[in-house]
Amino acid sequence: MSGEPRPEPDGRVVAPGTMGGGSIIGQPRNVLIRIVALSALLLLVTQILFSWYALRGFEQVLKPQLELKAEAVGRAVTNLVGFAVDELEIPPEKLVGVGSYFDDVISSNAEIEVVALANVDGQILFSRGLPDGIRDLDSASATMEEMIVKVVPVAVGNETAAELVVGVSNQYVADRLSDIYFDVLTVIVVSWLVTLEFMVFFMNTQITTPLHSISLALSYGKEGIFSHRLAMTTKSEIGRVMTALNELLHSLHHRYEDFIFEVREIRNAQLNRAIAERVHEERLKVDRRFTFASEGDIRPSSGAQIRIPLFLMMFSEELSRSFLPLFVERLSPADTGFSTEFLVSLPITLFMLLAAIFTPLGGMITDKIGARRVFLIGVIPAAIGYFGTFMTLGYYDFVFWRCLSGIGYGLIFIAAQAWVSESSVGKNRARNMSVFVGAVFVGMICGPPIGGIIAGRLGYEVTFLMSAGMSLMAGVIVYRLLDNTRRYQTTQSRSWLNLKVWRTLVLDPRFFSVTFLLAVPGKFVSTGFFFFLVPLYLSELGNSQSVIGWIMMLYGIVTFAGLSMASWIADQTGRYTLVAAIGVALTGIGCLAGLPKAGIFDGTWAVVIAIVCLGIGHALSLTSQLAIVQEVATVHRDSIGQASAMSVYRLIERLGLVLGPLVAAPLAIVFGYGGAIAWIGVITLGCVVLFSILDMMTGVRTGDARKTA
Amino acid sequence: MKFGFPARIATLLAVILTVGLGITGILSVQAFNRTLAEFLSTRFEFVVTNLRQRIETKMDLGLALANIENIPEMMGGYLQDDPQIFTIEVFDTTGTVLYSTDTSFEGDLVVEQWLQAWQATSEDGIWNLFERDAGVVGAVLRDNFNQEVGSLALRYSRDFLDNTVSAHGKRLLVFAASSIVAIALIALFGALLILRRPMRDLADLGVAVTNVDKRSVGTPLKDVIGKHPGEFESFASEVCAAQDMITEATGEIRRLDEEQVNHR
Repeated sequence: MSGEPRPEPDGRVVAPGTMGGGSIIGQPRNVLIRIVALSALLLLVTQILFSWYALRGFEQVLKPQLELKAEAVGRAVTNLVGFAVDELEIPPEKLVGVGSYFDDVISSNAEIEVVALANVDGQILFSRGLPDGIRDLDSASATMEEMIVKVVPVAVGNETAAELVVGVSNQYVADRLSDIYFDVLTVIVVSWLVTLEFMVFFMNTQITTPLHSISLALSYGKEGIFSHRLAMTTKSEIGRVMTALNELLHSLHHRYEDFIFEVREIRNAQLNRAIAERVHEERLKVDRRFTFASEGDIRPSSGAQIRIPLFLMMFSEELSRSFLPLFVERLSPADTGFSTEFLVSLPITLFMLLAAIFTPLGGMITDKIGARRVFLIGVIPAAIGYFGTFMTLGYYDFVFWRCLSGIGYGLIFIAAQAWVSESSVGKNRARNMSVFVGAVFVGMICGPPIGGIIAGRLGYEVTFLMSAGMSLMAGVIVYRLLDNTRRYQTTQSRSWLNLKVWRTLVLDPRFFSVTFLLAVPGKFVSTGFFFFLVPLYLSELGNSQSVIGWIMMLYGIVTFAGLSMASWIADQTGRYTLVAAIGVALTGIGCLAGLPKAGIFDGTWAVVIAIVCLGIGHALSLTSQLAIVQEVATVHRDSIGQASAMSVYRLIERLGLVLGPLVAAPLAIVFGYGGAIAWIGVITLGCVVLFSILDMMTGVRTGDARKTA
Repeated sequence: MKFGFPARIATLLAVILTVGLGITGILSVQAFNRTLAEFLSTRFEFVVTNLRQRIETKMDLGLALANIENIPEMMGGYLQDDPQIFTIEVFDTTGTVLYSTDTSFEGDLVVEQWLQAWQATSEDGIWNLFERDAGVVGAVLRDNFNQEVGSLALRYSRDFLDNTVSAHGKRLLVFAASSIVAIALIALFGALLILRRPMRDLADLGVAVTNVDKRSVGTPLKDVIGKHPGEFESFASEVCAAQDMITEATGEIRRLDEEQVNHR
């Protein structure tokens, strides 16, 4: 904030830091950015320092242990060599099989790099791990500068018959600590994101929203409207201003009430009609210029209020993303007559199915009782489901608990979306939707790696207990912070239930092709490949739970980072169809990266490439598909609304979510996990080819709709 | 004391930091515990493997396990080399101790868990288990017909592991606690610095609002609101206008009322 007075557009000179627009009320953003930046920086620096301090301490303890190991190995080997030299009286240079014994020592002790036996003159007799051409200990020591070296004499009686040299890698400790580095880095990244989320939420609820209330009250007051009161949302410095404003408005209202009372008294007491009229005229003069009638509290609602609860819910669901199929595999009973793959896919499919059913259902309930209540209702099955999964006794009750969580997920998702829609007006609609999308993706980024770490350290079940706790916390935040007095407004049209709407849309070639040949395959890859096959395949490839979590986190990062860019590309080119098709094709091509025997990449890297392609592909296709559906709705605007078209599109799209694991499971049985991934890629590419053919045949291009509209 | 924004921001940051450092600390201490335990057990695994090799070489010469003479000396050598080793024992398939560095154990039966660990051993014949005060590493002994004839068991002190891990845990706890306090203070002062001016403006605004409320009719606006032009000035001027208008209108109706009374 500058200390100098500055001119306002109307020519007035406004003192710095005043209510003229440069103040916290006029422009809170700068202050908020500084606070959030300060918090993020402090947290990052502390986490890094703490981690460095911890790891340095660990290294200091582990390195001497390596020396002890080298000593122990040295002593043990010399005991054996000593036995041969002393008791069996074999000269050291005549020993047989020493080289292969050293091979065994090195292969069974990853930290040992060099083992060598030298005679008393320092000539090396047998060695493993030394470069070729090294013949004596002096040259060997030069090559072992970076190692911890222990020299143990082979004693025969009181004399030294030979010397054993053991070299241990210094790098070994760092390698062993790399697991911890990964975990620590994950926690730092996630804490950082969580800090940003909470700080922004705090600023929103404690500063931005109350300041917006004050700003609204001042704006109304400027127009002579004093009929509102400020709903108290904070007891801070801003709260004190709000209290003062409420007292002022109350006092003004009281003054006006006294005046009205007096007007009524005097008027009623008047015998002279002309004076009574003049008295009344005085009242009308006041009423014409000012409004005092009570119109309730100013409660500005913001889409951002739902961000933390939604983030917590997404986080709690994503915690199990990296290991859910592995957990189900462990629980699957052997004697059901169904394949393990099918049993593993079933809870994922049912979860998606129930979420898909309860999303539109939740939308209808939201219209009746409001987003806040639906969110709170959704928390109940979600939390019970997570807690039940934590306590799970076997496969069947696990499936039941996951179904409950699916119901909760569907309700919460639509309630959050409805809250954001209700809070949006014209210009802030896109910004509010970015709040929604942001919360979903930050949850997707944070959940899998943290879930992977917790599952790896404390077990799968404990992760679900955390999910239950977080969903309850989300419920408490919604209960405490979201406005209970909101009037419910219809957030979605119910005409999507109409058969005629369905017929019109499904018979529209563009809608049909975009929905069935792009959207459904897109979601099909999400659940079939990403949710179901990735954890199983990565585990089969020998990756730890933490690493699986890290790899799965990539999807959220890539999609989130690519969304703005993808929308920009689609908007700039205007070729939504092409962009959407390229996006879905990319997800299919990514799945082919690990095509067995013919793939460019192998194993884990193939999955990484496929996930990155999936992220980019989804970023490209998601926004463009929505734009195409909106265009189709515009063409049929006489019979179908935008909301109806979107609802039908969403409902069909979820078919892909349900189909994914169901199709992936038999593919995995026949072709293995790697083959199943490749086949999913082939199916997806097949859909894109069909889409392209249909698109060429119908000849309707993006942009045409806009022209006709 | 007022719990204002700077204090709230500092508290929020301290809570997030506590959770973040708590998770980092627990995970890293747990991983350290695992790594150190593995370092210790692989060291002793190497010792028992080596000892096993020497005993099996003797058995390859045709000696029965119970009749090998210098096993106690061999074991004693390893015991002397490493102060962390408690005892080394050799027991047969019934669990009876044949040799021990503590001769008082000879003839005793080993605990059931050792036999179970031995039976559950993997292909390399090495087994591990943790007792309350010691770690145990064992190695299955096989004769030249590859028949299992008994097992070696090396008990080593857990004190080093437990004490080291606990010391590191405490060290990290102290570091974390001091970091949290330091960060909370830095956040408090940082937030005070950033919010000083906005908070002062808000306080001034609160006073100005109160002044407008208590203003006497006719007092000029600038005397009441001080340095708060802009949006608030327009609001305050409208409030004053309302106050003045109501006062004037009240005066007018009273005057009209009195006029009527006088007229009568």
